[in-house]
Amino acid sequence: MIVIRGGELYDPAHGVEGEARDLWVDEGHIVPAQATAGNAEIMDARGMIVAPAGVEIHTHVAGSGLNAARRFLLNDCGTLDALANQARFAAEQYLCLGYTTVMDAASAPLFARSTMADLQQMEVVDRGTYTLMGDNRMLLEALADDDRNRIRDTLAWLLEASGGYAVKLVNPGGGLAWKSGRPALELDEPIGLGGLTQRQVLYRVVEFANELGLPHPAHIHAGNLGRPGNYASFLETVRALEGQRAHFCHIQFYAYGEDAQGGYNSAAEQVAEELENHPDLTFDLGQVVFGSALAVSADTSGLDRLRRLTRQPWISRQLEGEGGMSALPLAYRMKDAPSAVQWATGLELMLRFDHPERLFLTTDHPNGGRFTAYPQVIAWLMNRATRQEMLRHVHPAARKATRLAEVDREFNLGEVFAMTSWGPARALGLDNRGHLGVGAKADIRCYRKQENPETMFARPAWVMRNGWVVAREGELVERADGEVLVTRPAWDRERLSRLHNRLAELVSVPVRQYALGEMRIEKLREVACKSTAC
Amino acid sequence: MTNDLRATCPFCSLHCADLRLSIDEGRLTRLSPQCEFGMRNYTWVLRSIAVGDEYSIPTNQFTQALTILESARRLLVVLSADVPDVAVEGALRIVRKYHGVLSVEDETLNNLNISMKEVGGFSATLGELKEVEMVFICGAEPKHSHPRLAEFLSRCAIDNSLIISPLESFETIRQLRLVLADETPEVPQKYRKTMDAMRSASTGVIFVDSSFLQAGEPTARELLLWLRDLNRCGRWYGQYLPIGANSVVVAETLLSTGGIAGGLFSGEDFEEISPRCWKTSKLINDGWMDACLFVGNPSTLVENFAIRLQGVNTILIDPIQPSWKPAVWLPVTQVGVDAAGSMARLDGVPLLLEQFVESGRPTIQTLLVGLLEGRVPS
Ligand SMILES: [Zn+2]
Repeated sequence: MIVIRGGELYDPAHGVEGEARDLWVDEGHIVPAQATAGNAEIMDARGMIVAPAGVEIHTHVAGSGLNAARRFLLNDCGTLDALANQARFAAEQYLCLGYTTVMDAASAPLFARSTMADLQQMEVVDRGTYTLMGDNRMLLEALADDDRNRIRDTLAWLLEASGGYAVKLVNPGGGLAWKSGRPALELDEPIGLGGLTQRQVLYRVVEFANELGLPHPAHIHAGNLGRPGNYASFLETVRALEGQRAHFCHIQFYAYGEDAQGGYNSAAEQVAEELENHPDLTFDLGQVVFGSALAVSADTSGLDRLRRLTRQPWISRQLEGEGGMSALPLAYRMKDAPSAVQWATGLELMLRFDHPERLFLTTDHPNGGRFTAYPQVIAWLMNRATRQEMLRHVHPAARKATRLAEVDREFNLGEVFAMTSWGPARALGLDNRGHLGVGAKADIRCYRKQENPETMFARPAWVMRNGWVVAREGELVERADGEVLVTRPAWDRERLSRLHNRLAELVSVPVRQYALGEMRIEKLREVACKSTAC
Repeated sequence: MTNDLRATCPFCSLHCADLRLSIDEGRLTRLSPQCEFGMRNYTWVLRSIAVGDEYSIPTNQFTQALTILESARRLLVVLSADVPDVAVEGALRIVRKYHGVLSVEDETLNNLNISMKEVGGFSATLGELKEVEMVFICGAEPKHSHPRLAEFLSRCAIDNSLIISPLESFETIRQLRLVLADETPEVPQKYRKTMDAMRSASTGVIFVDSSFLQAGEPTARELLLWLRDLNRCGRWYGQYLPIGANSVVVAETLLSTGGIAGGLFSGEDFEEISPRCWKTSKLINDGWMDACLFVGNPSTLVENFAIRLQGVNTILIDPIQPSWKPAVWLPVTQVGVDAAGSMARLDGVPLLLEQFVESGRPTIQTLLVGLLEGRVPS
């Protein structure tokens, strides 16, 4: 039994904002207050801030795409460590920032074993990965045939075979279209498989993911990533789901208008306003931070466009029956107009949207920059003067093409914890995380109060996972018992041999070796589905 | 008694997964489909396994290896391109412990990296090969290094395709590239047909093998520029054909672990070598080191290097008994023969290779840990 004594508690899930209270922890969970402390261990948290640990909903720290991308940083070990650290160290960096749950955002079934090998290294946190399906030939064929049972079974089988936690759609059908020379796919344009359109793929996959009761709904990377003027098509994509539950990632990259010269301006206001109408959707930001970055994505057409624009080399690895994985080096520079506008657009979007429990802080690491910059982003959100100061230093386009300067809002601590803990935990369907209610997992962070939010958030006084202090003042206390979170929705196993037959036609990897094959996952935790349909 | 087995080939980066082996008293008698390259390598490995005997690590050899490591003043650790990726971390730890220098033998990867800084790399899936209109092979005949691929390509009955040898490479590729931009007034007669076909083809693959990239940066860069220009008119892919199986993954694992690939990593700063500037071959040629730990199969290393390695205290950790004489040979398992393990195909897809012989030999990683801890692994 542990008593965390007298900390100023922040628990946005229960409307608690800075009340000094005791928190009781036993056997890895938060328990009701006891009458007496008895021989419980007392942790003095008086004058300190106590909040649920961070939950990362979208990052790229594992798997083969990152491995390929590392080649671009051969001559720069510092940047390599910041943007593409070994999975084990990235997990440790997350833990030292106060995050105890980390979700890698994209893993192709064919590379599931590479991703899982990396995930196994990240044992200081609970972690998982999303399975890429938007260009999966077998799923697309089932959708084109509109065969309900086959769609459901293919989806569930791919998740199970790959050890995934959620379904990931990246510009669905875009890889297929790109390979036939059509780079930008419109929502109602056939992707190249019968009359099947991107709109149908999105709608149906989201529908089936929800029908299977996955704890986290379909996780969507929309089309037209990073294009000036893309906000209209993004909002059309959002509306295409017709009110179903889903998650859209790194939406800063879709909040752009277009100026007369074809450059960026901010459409944060329009986007924030429209998203108000979709209470069942959640989002993460994909904030840009200045410095080096790496584009790592299954969005081949998006990255193809980017590399033409930046004239950067790229690596594009195509997969059998599954789309591809591409990478290229990037840099966001303060004195560069597009970078400055992207930076300001992200902050403006976050500040204009009133529901931090639905729009979460990410940098789409390493796409928008390193996740270790979160404390800096929090400082910009919490302090108007800090961002105004920054606005004066970046390229003037940020002031002209966005209205960030006019936004007065300053995030309070409760909002910061809503967008980094409670919101993402809820969106992931991890009911016992992200809050401090009785029964919650004792994943807790504690900060020494400081004037400057950036220095405060950069180093928690301590971080607790499962009721154990695992990091203190930025130093790790070795305790490597984190779990790999997976979901395994029910499906009709009678279909397996038919799935395997088609797989054997599409993929030259032996069927028994496909995805994880017989690889065993250590410390696996199956998070239950809440299916209503089967 | 003949034993018929199914296996996945560990020896070239295609990792053919449908092999049937006939083994008689520990000797390979038949391999189907036929592949000389696979046959030769299976034979070598099986010959190096003392089948039937209870194997144990020779203690005197192991002790000698430890003595070499401990007395080395300039230790060079070379990772061959075909080791399983799990061996990378062990090699790095040895370099740190003994203040050595680590390099990856497959320097072609380094050239590829240099080149990619200009224009980027593309890769096709094996499935896509069936659909391409043209194929160019830059470098050696794949009949020798990847015979199954050569057979596959010939089955596709692709006309108008060309094998460009490393000798004539630079000029030829430059002409092929310029012809796309209509900048070559004079097309040499022998390429005319190919060039016309190339101009109208909408899909194609360019295979590059290591012998080609060894020609150095200008050639590799020219190649990738050509590929870039081809991509402007259609869907063309570049595909690197590493001869050392798994080499792409070894390089990537090393990158994720130590931040290096195809270059040098130094556990301690040696004034005269700066990381990533020197090549393994040059260090070997110059006789820079007084001891060498060679991990994996050195068969892709030029022969005279092996002779030079005989001149210094060299520890070879390899499944195959060498034809040259290192100071110490410590046999280890071969993934896909006497050990199970994961290796990556040329398109990066990881495959699980199964064990079909029980040899009692240690795995590379077990042996490396033994050397680190200074005791014979049990
Ligand atoms: Zn992402």
